[in-house]
Amino acid sequence: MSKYILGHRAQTRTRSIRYTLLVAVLLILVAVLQVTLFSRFRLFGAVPDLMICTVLCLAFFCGKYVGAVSGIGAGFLIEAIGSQGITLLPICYMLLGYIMGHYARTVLPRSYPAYLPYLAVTLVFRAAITFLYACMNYANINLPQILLQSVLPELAVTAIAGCILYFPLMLFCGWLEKKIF
Amino acid sequence: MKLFKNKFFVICLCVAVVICAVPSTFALMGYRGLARNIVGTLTVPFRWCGTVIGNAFEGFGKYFGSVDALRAENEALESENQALRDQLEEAELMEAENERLRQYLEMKNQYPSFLMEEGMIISYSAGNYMTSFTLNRGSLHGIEVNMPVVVTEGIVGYVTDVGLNWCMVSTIIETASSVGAYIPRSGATGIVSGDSSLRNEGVCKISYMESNADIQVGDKVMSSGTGSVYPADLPIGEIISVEIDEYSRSLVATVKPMVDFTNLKYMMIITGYQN
Repeated sequence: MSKYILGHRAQTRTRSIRYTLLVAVLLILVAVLQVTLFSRFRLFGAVPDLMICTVLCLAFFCGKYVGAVSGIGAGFLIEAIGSQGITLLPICYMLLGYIMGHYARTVLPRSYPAYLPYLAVTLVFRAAITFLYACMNYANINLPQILLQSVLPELAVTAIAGCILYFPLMLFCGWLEKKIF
Repeated sequence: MKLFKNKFFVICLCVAVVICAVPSTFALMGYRGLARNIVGTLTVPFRWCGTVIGNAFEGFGKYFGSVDALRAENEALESENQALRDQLEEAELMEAENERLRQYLEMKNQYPSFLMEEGMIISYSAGNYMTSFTLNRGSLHGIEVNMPVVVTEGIVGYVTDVGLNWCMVSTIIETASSVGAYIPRSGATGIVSGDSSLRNEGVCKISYMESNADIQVGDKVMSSGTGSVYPADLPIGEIISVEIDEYSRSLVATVKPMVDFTNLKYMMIITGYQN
């Protein structure tokens, strides 16, 4: 009996490691995509925040635990690769992943129409982060200028990216659950 | 706030705060964080791949982005090409005209007494073989009936009808046509006229020649200047066959005109000459 329990725990640990590794690979790929490919093709003059969309989707499909951990990882990665200075993204993304994962499991079923309100909340959250970063980086804060040049373009392209990313990440999460469990 | 009264959440929050605080502190102190350095180094191959893919996409995008510019350039080049073609066509026409006029100038030098008016064929006869033409010259240009019409190769025919700005020309292979002619090699004389049986073949005949006249296949036939229509010494054609007329016992030869009536465009109407 104890042998069986030990074997089951080892199996579960192996599964968790594989799960974490695959999610980490996904996050690295998305981070690289964001800082290399999408940072070049600036639709509306802004780079879409693919990481926040990925965290949202992982939280939406896999729950608050995966959402929170992937949020920390995503924030850490994107700060490590693409930015310098004060780091806030790991906390922001972790909060987002945790809260969205929690409500996605308890309030609404996992469907595309149900996903859209979450995306809307995420976009507002992203806009707030951008505004916060702009305030930290600019000496003279010009609210209309920040809105028109940074917040709104980023909001628009992130919305488009979020709408599109839902489908590949839905497939990925489905494949992940099937493969690991 | 049950949501946040969770051990997992607290642990995650602590980890996140540490992850944020440590690099931020180092960054504010002017040091690049170790973790940032490690992640940055580890992700270099991925970033390199991303950049390569980005370059490919950029090239792809530029290719299609430049389609409008290429289209505009293509249109400009096409119009320029068309303009150059027009110029070339005009130059070729001018060259052909120049060549034609140079030939007429040589003819004018050869026959200094000729007064000539150039006419262009504006319509052909409705028959199967083109034996009469309408030219774009008429009485306004001094054209009159029975004026001879020539090209540099030889005699074409004569004017049969004249309007204000047009005239009709009947060729020498028409049955109603007759030209006083001679053979330069032997001096034998005769009359070149059209024949209904020969007209469709584009040839005519020379008749009223002495039965003992020296005439051979290949002899040149020139106008003799007899009659009141054609000047003397204009080429008419070449003998292609010789026969004896059974009734008149004189020689009759078939003459192939020097002029190819199917390829005529411009011709000269001789408005005045002195034999």
